[in-house]
Amino acid sequence: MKAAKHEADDERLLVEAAQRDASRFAELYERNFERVYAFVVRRVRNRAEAEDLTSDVFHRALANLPRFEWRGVPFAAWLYRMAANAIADRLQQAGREAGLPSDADDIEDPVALRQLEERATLFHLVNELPPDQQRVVNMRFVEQKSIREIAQALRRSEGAVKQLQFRALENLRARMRRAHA
Amino acid sequence: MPKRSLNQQLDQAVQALLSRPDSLLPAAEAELAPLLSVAADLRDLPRKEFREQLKSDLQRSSSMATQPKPQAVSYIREGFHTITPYLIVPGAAEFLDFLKAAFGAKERLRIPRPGTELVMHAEVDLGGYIIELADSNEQFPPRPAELHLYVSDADATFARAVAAGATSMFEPVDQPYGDREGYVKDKFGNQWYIATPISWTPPAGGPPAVQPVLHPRGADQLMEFLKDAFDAEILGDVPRSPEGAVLHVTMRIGDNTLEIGDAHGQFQPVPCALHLYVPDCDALYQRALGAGATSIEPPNDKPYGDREAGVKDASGFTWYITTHLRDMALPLPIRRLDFFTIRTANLERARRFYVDTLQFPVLDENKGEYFRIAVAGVPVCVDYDANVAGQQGNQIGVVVSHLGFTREALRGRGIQFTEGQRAEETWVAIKDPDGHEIIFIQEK
Repeated sequence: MKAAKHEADDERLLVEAAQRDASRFAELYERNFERVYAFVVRRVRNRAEAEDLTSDVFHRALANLPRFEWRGVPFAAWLYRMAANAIADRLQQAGREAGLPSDADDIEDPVALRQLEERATLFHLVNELPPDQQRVVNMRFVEQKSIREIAQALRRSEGAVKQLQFRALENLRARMRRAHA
Repeated sequence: MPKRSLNQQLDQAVQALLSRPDSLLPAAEAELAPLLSVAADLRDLPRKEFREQLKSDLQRSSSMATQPKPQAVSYIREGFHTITPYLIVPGAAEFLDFLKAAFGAKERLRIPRPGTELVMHAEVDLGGYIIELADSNEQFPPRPAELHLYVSDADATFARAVAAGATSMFEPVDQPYGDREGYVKDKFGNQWYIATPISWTPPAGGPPAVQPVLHPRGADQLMEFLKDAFDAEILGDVPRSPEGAVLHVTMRIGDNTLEIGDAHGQFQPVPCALHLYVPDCDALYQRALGAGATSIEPPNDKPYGDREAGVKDASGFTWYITTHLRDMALPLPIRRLDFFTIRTANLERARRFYVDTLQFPVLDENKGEYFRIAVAGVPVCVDYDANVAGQQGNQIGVVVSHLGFTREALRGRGIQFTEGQRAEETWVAIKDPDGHEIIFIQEK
C-alpha cells in the first residue's frame, strides 16, 4: 500500500513537471506507452490502426496536459479515457456502429484493468530479455516470420531458434510472476 | 513414435496461434499452457520502431510547445522591404477596395479595431511590395502619401485607377527621363505616379513596384538627415534647378529606395509616415534623434513581435523604426463569446436538469435539437447527440458568492454533490445526467 502511495506521489510529480515543462512529457510516455498500446490494440482490427490511435492518444495527451487536474486518479486512467474517446471517434468517422464492448465500462472494471496492466508489463519486459531472445520474439510475434526465416536471418539452426523462443517465453513467464508477485 | 521435444511442441502451438489469431489457445502439455498464454499476448506486442518513432515525434512537438527554437529570424518581417509606406486614411475599408480595383493589390492582412468595422491595421501586396494602412482617428490623424508605382502598362493601370474613382492629374505621356507616366489623386488624399520604363533598362528583378516620393521644403536637409540617421545613399546624379533646388533624387536605404525632390508648384509636402525595418531599432532611434529628429515614441516591444520606435524629422515626415524580433501568430479578432456547446444523449432529461431543476434561463430552443441557456451571462448550448454516451464530460466552472448557500440550494433540489478545495478556492461539484460537471467555486 505504501509502495502504491509512493508510486502515485512519484507520478504526480512527473505530471506536474511535464505541465511546467513539456519536454518532461517523455517520462510519462515511457511509463505509459505499453499501457495505452495494450488498451488500444485489443479494440481495433489491425496493427496500423493501433499505432495510429496510440499516436493520436499521446498527441492529445501532450496537447491537453496543461488542463489535466490531479485528483488522485492514476494518470493512466486519464489516458485510457482519452483512448476510449479516440476509438469512439474513429468508429464514428468510419460510420461504424460502436459494436465493441463499452470501453467506458472496461476502464472502471478492476479485472479488466488488471489484465491490461499485465499485458503492458509483458510488453515492457520484452525489452529486458537477452538480445538474441528479444530478436526472436520480435521477429516471430511482431514480424510474424517463420522459424525457418528467422534461422536464416540470424544464421542459426532452426532447432536453436526454437530453443531461443522457448527460453524467451519461459523467461517472460518467470519475470511476469516476479513483477506481479 | 518418439515423443517430440517441448521446444517443438511449443513451436507448433505458437504457429497455430499465429496463423489463427482469433482462435482459442491450442491444446498442449500442461507445462506449456502458461507459456502459450504469454505467446498469445505477445501477438499484440508493439513494434519497437513505432515506440521510438512516436517518442521522437512527441519530443519534437513538446520542444516546439515549450521553447520556440531560436531560429534565425530576419529583422525584416517576411514579405517586407526596408521601407514601407504606412497610409493613414479615413475610410480604410473603402480604400482597400480602391487599391484592389485600381492597382490589383492583394490584401494580405486586415485587423479590425475591436468591436468595430474600422481597420486597425491592414497590409496589401502590390507587385511584391507592401503598403500598410489603417483608419485615421483622433490619435492618428490622416497621413496620406505620394507613391511612385512601376507597372507593366501605365496607360491600362491609369485607366483602371480613374475608373475606380481616382482623379486624373495628368494622363500618361512619355517623359524625358525615360518613363511613360501618368498621375492621379485618390479621394483619400494620396497621390499616385503610375509609370512604365520605356527608354531605360530596369535592374534585374524589375523596377521597384512601389516607391515613396517625398517633396519636402529643403530636400538637402532631408537627404543629410537620411544619410546620418539611416545610412541612406544617393543613387546617380542630383539634378538641380538653376536656383539650386533638388529636382529629383533617388536614395537607397537597405534593400529599397525612395525619391525626393524639393517642393514646388503643385508638388507640395505630404508629410507621410514610413515604416523602416532596421537591424537595431534602439541604435537607429538614437542616431535619428542625434541627426535632429524628435521622438514620437521610444523603442518598445509590440505584441506583434516587432520592437518599434517613432520619430519625426525636421521636414515633418514620420519614421517608424522597427526591428522584427519574432514571428507571431496573429490574434483572432474576437468580439464576444456567442455560445459553446455541451452534448446530451437525452435532450428532455438535460432540459429538466438545467431548466427545471437548476433554473438557468432559456435563451432559445429548437425542440428535439438543442436549447440554449445563460450561465452567468455566457450562452451555453445543450445539443442533442445520440453518440455522447460514454464520452468524457465537459466541465463548467462558475464562481458563486456563497458556497454554503450553494450547498443548501443543491440539497434542496435533491442534487448530489462532491466538494473539495484547492490552493485559493473551495468548490462543490455536481454532475448532469450526461456526466458533464458543473463546479461551483468560491474564491478565498
